[in-house]
Amino acid sequence: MPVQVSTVVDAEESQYQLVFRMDNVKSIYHLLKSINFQPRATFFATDSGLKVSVESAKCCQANAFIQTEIFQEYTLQPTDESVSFSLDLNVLLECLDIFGDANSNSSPTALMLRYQGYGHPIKLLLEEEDVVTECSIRTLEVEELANFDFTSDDVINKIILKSEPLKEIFNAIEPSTDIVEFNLYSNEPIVKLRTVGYMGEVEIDISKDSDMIELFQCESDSTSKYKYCHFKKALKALAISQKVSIRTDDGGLLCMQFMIKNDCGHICFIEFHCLPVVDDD
Amino acid sequence: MKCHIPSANVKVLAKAIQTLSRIGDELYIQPHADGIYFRTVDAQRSAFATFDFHRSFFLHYSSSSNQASSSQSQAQPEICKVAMKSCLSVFRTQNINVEMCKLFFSNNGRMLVFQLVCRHSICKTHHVPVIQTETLQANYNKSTARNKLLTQSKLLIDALQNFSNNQDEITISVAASKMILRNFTETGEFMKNTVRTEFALESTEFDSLQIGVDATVTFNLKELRALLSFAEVCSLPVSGHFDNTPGRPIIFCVNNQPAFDAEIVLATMSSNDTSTFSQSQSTISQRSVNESALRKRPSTSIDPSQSTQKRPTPATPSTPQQPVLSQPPITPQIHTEIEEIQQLHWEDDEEEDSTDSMNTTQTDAVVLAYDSDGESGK
Repeated sequence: MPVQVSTVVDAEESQYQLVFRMDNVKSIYHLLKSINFQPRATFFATDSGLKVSVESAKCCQANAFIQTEIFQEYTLQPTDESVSFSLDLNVLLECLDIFGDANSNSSPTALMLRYQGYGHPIKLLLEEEDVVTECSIRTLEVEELANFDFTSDDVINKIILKSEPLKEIFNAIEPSTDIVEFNLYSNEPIVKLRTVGYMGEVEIDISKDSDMIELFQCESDSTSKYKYCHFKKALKALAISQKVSIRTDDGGLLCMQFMIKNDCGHICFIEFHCLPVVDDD
Repeated sequence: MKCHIPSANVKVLAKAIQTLSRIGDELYIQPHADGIYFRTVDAQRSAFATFDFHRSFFLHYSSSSNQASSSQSQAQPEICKVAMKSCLSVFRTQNINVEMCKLFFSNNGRMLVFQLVCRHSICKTHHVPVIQTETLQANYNKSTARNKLLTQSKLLIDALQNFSNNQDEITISVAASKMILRNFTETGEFMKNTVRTEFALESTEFDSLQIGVDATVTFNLKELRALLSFAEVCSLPVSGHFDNTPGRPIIFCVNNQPAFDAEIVLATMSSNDTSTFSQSQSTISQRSVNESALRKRPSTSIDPSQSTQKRPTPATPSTPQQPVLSQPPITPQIHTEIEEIQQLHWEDDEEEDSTDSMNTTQTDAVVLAYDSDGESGK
C-alpha cells in the first residue's frame, strides 16, 4: 500500500515517533510484570506519559500509567494520530531483564526505547556496565480494547485502603474459589468479602474503625460478584502497591487503583477494571 | 459447643491441624465436657492421632449441653467429621495477626464455624461443612508399655535427619540403656544400592529412658515426624511408650498440661530377635566410647565387618501396619505378625578395607554400609 510506505519513509527521514530513555529499567520492569496476565499489551504514548493496557476476554483490563517524570528523556513527535502499538509483553519483559538482575540490587540497567511508527519494530538499547544489548521487538496491530466507561458520576462507593492488610486478605482466599462477592455497606461491617469454594464458605468483614481504611464513601449498599480468576489478576499489582482505591459504580463495575511507589520515589498507578458476574435470576 | 481461643493458642491449634493433616484426610472434632478432641486416622487405619485441648486452652469454653437455651433436642454432644483440607485452609495464612478464634456450630450443627478476629478490625468467618456426625475412638493403653522414653523433640529430629526423607519406616531397638534407630526396607533384603543407617542414642541423651524389656519395633516414620515438628514449634518434650509384644502399637505423646496434650498411636511390626541388636551394639560401643563431646553426633556401625546379620522380614511386606483402631461399635483388634528371620551375609573384603579406613579418619561420621556385591548369600 503506497500510503503506508510513504509514511514509513517519512518517519525514517524525520525522527522516531517516540524515544525515551531511563537510567534504571527496574522502575518500569516491575510495573509491567505486575500486569502481565496476558501476553499482548498495548502501549499508548501521550504527552503526559505512557499508558500500557492489558486485557483479558474483555472482562478485565489493567492499565499501567507511567508518567514522564520517570523517564530521563521522553520525546514524542507531535502527530495527528495517537502513537500506539501492541507487542508481546513476555518478550519485552525478557528483553528488559536481559542482564538477569531485575530482582537483585546490582548496578542499574539503562534503557533507551525508540519507535519509528506504524509497522516498525520497537528498538531497545540496554546498557549495564559498558555492555550494550540491542533488542528489536516486532510490534503487532493495535487491538481494540474494551472501554470501561468509569465516569465519576456513576461511582456510588469508594474506599481507600492500605495495601498491606488487604494483601493478606486476598492471598488467604482459597485458590479453588469460583466467585468472590464484594459488598460495601454504609453500616457495619462496611466491607464484606464473601467467597464460596469447595472448601466451604468464607466471609471476611472489615469494620469501620479499622486502621487500614483511609477513606470510605458509601452512597448506597452494593453487592457484586466477580470471577475469582479475573479478580486474582489484580493480586500481582496489589503486591507491589502501597495503597488501593476501590470504586464500584451502579452497574457493579469494579475499579481498583493501585498506587505504586518505585525505588526512586516516583509514584505510578495501575488501574484494574473488572466486570461483575451477572446473576441469572 | 462454643469456644474462644486466645491469640497465642490459635497458633498451636493451627499447628495441631497441620500435624493432623499430615496423618489423615478427615478431621474428627469431638467436644466433651472438659475440652475438645481433634482426631484423625490415616487411610490404612494404621496411625491415629489425637489432640486434646482442655478447658484452660480456651478463653471461654462451653460444651453444647450447657446451652439449653434453644429448643434443640440434641442430647448427644456435637461430634463431627470435616474435611481436613477445609480446616487447613482456615489457617492458611499465618501472618494475619489473629487476635482471637471462635469455634462453634451453626445451621443446626451442619456447619462448623471458625471465626478469626484479626488485627485491623478484620473478621474472617470460615463455614466448614460437616460431612458426618461420627466419632473416632482408638483402643490402646500406653500405661502398660514397659519401655518409656522422654526427650526433647530436638534430639529425635536431629537423629531422624540422618535418614532419607523418603524413608518410610524405621526400626527402634532398646536394650541395655541404649536406643538404636535403624532404617527399614520392606523387602528385608538390602539391595545393592540401599543405604543402611544406624544411629545410637545413649540413655544419658534422653530426659529419661526406662527400658523394661529389650524390644525392637518398626513403624511408620511420617507420623512421628509430624508430631516432632509440632513438639518443636511448641518447644515441648516428647514421650514414647512401647513394648516388645508383637502387634502392640507405639505411642508418642506431647504433654502440655493443663492446656493440651497430643498423642499419636502407630501400628508396629515387632521383632523378638534381639541378636541383631546385640551385634550392632557391640560395634556401636566401640565407636562411642569417648563421645561425651560428640554426644549429639551420630554413632556408627559398620555392617560389612559383621559376617552375619539377621533381619526381620514382614510376613506381608506391602502392608506392614496392622489395624490398631476401630470405630466404637467394632471391638478393637490388634493383629500379630511374627516376622521371619532372614540371614544375610556380607563377604566383601574391599568393602571392609574402605570402612576400616573410614574408622580411623572419621569416627563420628555416619558410616553407611552397602551390600556391595552379588556375593552376599554365598
